[in-house]
Amino acid sequence: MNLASTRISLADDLDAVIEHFHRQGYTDGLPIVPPTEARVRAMLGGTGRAAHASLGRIEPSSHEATIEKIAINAVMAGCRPEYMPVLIAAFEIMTRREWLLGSMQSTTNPLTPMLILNGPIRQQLGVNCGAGVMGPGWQANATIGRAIRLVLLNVGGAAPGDVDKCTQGFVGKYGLCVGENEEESPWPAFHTTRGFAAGDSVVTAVGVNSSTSIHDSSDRWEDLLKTLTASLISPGTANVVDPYSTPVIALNPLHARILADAGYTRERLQQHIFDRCRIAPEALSGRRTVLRRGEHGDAVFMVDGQIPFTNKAEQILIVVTGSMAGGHSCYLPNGHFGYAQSKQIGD
Amino acid sequence: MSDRIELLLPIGESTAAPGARPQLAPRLQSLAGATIGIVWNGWHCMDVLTRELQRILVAEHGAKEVVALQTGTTYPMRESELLHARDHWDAAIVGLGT
Repeated sequence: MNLASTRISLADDLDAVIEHFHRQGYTDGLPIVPPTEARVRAMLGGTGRAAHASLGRIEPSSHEATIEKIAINAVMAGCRPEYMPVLIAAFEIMTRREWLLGSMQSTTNPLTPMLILNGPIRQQLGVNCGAGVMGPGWQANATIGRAIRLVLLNVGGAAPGDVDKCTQGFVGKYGLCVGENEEESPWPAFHTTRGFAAGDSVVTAVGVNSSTSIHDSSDRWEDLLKTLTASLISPGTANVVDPYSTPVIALNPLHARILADAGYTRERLQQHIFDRCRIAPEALSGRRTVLRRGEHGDAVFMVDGQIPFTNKAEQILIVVTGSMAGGHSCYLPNGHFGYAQSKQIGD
Repeated sequence: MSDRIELLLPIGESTAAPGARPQLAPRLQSLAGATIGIVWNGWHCMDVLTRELQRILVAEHGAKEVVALQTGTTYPMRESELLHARDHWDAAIVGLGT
């Protein structure tokens, strides 16, 4: 099987290779693993898909996300071959027209794809679902997230500061891949709420903005709900102006258990947030009021004269991740692009 | 032993199988007399730039008509809009807004 990508010949010096890739704009600012043919072929061994097969176009450049190109960028990111099925499933989601990847690639919003992994794949790949789940330290989390970003950069052409007009960005744009802590969650696994069986390995891709910390170390569910609800009411977040959004509430297992022990299922918590997290229209600036006009020709969705968190309670994605230590959860807004979609991970 | 190393390019190329590559419409040699569409997503201040683009395309490039189509920020062009553009526009400027 011939690989189709253009080959470049450089001095066989690691520092020189890394410098070249930096100067060409092929990196995220961090050193890369040089994508030799041997390494790329090894990466392709992690999937049964043909190298020339395309998963769709990556906007805004409209270049094809071929398995080969994904493998090249996965090598650069430091991935293991067994990570390829996750990357493939993720890009199969993100290249869907309705996911609006092109808009996400060029927006001023601090937006990045977040991958949420469920099922046996987490143990198979060593995906971190516990302490420091959104931080450094785990090869699977770090490099899968990074590979996603490198493909978006190199195949999609979203050069930061050029095509990617992100005003400030945030650290999630280096990569954001988490596993749900199904084992310590009091609720059924997140992917089972999206139509999958518990034993399925699934990736959910959702475009998220920079996270908002939700900290409460109380063991009283009333305190926790009070803090949670108040933390989600923010006129400046994306979902306020997009009633169709799918924001992510990443609860640590401790918070989840406190609420579950008080009788809250995931669904009841979604409804609670929908019922309580409302914003008065006058809390929005004039410009944000304009943005909230019906995107699909509908009237602005209001409930009792207030702007709800989302149009429907089930749009609120509640994922249990992180460790039991400390009362720290977070909220990652979503809006305008990259509504959450899930896909079973194949080969 | 060679002192060179060969690496594969990570950037997008036309490496997909020939059957998977879409055929692009032929490029216009001139905008004179053309009907041009501007597709924008209603984002902040893009309406100002859209009006200026309309003026320039007519005044400086001889376009017959410049149509501005505002879509939403949360969805791509509708199928009906795409078909209308295909049938009535000679060229389009797309991907504007945020």
